[in-house]
Amino acid sequence: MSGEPFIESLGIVVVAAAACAGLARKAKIPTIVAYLLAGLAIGPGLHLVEHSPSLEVLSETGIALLLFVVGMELSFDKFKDVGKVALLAGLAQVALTTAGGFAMCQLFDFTPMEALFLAAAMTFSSTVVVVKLLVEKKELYSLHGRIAVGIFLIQDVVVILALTLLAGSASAEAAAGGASGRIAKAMLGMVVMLALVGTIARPLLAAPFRWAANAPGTVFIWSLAWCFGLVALAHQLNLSPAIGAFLAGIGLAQLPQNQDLRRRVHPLMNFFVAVFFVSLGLGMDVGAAMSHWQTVVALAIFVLLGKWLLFTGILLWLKQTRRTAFLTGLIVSQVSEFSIILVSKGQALGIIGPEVLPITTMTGLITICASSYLILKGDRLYEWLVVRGWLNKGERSQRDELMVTVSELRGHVIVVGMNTLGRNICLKLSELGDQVLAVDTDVKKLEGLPCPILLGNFESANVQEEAGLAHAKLLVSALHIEEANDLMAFRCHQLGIPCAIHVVDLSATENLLEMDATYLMIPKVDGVKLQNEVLRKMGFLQS
Amino acid sequence: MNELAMLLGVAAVGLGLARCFHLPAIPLLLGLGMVLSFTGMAAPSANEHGTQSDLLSHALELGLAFLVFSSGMELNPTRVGSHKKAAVIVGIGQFTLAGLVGYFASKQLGFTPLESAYLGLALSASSTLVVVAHLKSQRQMSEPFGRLVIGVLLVQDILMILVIAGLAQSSRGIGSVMTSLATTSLLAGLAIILQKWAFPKLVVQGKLDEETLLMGVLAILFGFVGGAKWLNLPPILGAFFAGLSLSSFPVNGLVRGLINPMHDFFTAIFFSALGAIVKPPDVETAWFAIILCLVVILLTPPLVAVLAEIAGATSRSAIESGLILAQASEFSLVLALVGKELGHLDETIFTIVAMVTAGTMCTTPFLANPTITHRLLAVHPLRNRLKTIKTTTNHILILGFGSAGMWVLKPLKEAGHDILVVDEDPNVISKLEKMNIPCIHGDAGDVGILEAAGLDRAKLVIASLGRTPDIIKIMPLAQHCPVVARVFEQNDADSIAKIGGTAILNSTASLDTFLTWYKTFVTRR
Repeated sequence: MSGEPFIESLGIVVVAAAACAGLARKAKIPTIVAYLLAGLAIGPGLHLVEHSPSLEVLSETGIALLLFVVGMELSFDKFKDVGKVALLAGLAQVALTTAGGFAMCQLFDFTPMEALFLAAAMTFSSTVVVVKLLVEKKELYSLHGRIAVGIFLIQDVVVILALTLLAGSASAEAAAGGASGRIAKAMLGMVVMLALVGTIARPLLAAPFRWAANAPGTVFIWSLAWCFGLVALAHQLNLSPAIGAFLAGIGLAQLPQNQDLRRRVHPLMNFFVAVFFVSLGLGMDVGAAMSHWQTVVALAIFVLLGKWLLFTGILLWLKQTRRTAFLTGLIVSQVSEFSIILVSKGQALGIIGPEVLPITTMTGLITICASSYLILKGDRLYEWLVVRGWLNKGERSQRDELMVTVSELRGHVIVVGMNTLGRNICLKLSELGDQVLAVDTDVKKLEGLPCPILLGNFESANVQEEAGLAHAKLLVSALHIEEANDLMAFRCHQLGIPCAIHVVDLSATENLLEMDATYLMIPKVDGVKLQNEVLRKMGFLQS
Repeated sequence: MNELAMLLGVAAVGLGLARCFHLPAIPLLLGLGMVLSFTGMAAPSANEHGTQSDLLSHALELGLAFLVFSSGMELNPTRVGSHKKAAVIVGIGQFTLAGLVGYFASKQLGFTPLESAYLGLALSASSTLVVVAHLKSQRQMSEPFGRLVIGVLLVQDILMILVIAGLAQSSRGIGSVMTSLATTSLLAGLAIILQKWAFPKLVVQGKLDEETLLMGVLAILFGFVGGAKWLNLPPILGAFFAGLSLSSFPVNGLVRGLINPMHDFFTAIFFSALGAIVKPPDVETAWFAIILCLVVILLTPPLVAVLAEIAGATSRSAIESGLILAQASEFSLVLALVGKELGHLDETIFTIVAMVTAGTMCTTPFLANPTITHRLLAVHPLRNRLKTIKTTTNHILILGFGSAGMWVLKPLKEAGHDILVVDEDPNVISKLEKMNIPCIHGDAGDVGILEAAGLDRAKLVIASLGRTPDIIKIMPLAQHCPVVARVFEQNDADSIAKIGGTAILNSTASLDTFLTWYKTFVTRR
């Protein structure tokens, strides 16, 4: 509504992203690459959109939401066993990569300060890229996934220190010993926030979330307010939004609504993260980068190969299995979006030349694209190398097994809607010894059932997947919501799964029969039959 | 980021208070947004350009797009059932008459004709979001009056969107209005073509993963918004038609699950942000807002009730419809926002509309309440026209015929009983009259109707009303004969059994037939 054409720019970003993502699906290209290409096309290519502060805010929101989801998926417990490895590997990696990168940049025509900046930029790996891919591959829980996330958090802290130092040295208050003060504040902030999340988050949130259990929309907005509240707090304490959001997610990880909330945040996150990647492509200065193509190629190779080898080495030294070391090394082999921020800060301060930023961005773009492929195909690459005899097949450690989140139920009966009908069906079928899964949006209605339960809105494709709809023997919907029932009948028809659907109103039967529902439960009619029996006993009807 | 956190915080508190006091969420979000604005924590039009902060204005823009998009997607006439004609009569009638009264009332208060027109329009429609939430919480969506009310709201939403679109063009002269009508129909045509032929294939057979589907849907939304801008039409028309193009089954169902969280997020910050750009009212402005609130609350119930009864609803349905529709619409806010953007309105009018909308929405849960309905039914002037049916005695009284009524009726008739049916659906009554079954068109919860139906002389009462409180109310009047009531939930059955009725649990009956089927299903596999 202001003069700036915000909605137009956003519209072009979304349309381009959707078009590229659609094409990418056909060509089996990772969506991240598609978004980056979309950004390049509408920015440096066609000059339709310029990078603006508003898109920046949306990008930041995307990063926050992504880390929020990661936090919700991982609890402290899951980090405990990788904490030490991540800490050691993270610090060793930062030190060694910076040293290596610095040495390499000396070969090109850079000042020591510029070489330092480039080396630091090459050190950091992109949390957003990796987490998005790990979530897609459902490998966030795997050992290499957890180590990688641990390392990113360490890197985040280092980036924050670097940025704070820069900001400190730039501002006027630096004279008053600002820099060390700021760092102290950030460190103290980290402790405060950890304490906050570790101790009072659960008792603070559990009761209200339970109280509002039958209004999932309210709980959803509450969790977002909690997330962005901590983001704002992190900002106050000189920490990154990512850390605030991540800790907010961890605070929610233990709550019973966790899974449902995660699924609700997902679409929102996908939207904002898409904007993030497109604007990354938008901001690219292709011409300037191309004039330094040798440097870009050298740095890209350094990041893709050098970081990978270095990291694999560090992890092997820390006694991880070959497979874990190999895959984790692969995961961290790209440049982070923070690198670009770091370098642009440096440029703004005038301590490095103008050509460093486009070089960093281009290297980032290339390595992000390449490593998206490598991460998605990591397992196959490893197997391939083993088959060639270039690697010995390492023993698979017990812990390396994937911790599966998707329900592993097979041949089960899914019952949706825990009203009197749905609840009794669950009880009876469980008595018969059948495997039943009960689904409802209200956590209170799921209590006290003798079977596995799933909290969520069954209209969402994610919930259907998590419930293992494609492998179910039967879907039963006892819901009172006509539209939801129609949709479930339709999904079952698509998947070829039998379904028994509650007919709320007889006018709805036609729809359901058209969609080939296997069985219709019509309580209104069944009730009349029962009533007639009762009337017979009462003597109003002849037997 | 801090501003976003603040808006979300406001939304979180607002939703919590709404739950705590059983109030609709929108007025609380608006109200708390206003608190932000009045205390100066969010500055309305504070910066030197006279525009709001970027985040506030972007939240408004995006929130508006999602709000209108969703209402376009919900545009599904089958929900209205057999009440289409009545819905159109009541919808257009209320819109016109309430609009006119609002217009003249505002002129009396000394506003200019243009301002009065805006205020009149703001009072003319009722709120889909508030009403649907209330119906859902009371499980009244598939009751006759629920379906009627949903139909009325659909009609009014379309009218509001067309009016807002028309206003946006009005300043450009007649020629431009004609062109914009043409381009609007072009966009509408495109939406319908896509809805019928393109999107069902794309969405259903495309086998898209969640992310691609979401981006695709958003691209459709922004594509239509961009298209509307390109055709010089207001963006909300684009958003509305984008929703319309995705409104067919099963596309709407598949999309709804993805869009819902985005809709929740953007509308929550939309209403908070809207509150945050309201300027504090002076005494006079607040006074005007109170007068207009009273106009809505006092005018709408009788107006809608009369219209609904003319259109064939029972007295009770008509009164219930009137009470639940007595509030201003979320589109009133949109209207005022657009008027402000266009320079038609000043801050004062915007503030008044925001206050009237928030105020009237807050009263809905108190007005749409069975106690008030019964009080009003008691003073209904035409209630006594009901002629007592010939002195039936020793008959079986069927309260609520419903869709399974024929199965109840037939065996009883065959057994030779006298039967009298009471039902509130005019379609059911006309069907029964054709079959020469004695029946009364009216509400079975109304004591007067029950007297007319000879409850005190009946030998058996069979109730299927869907409203357990009504059955509980009937029980003391029917001490002399057995009462059999069909209900769905266990706790309803318990409370009926406790006061001596015979409860038939439909759900248990269905469970038994289901289990019989299930056993054959399992052996067949």
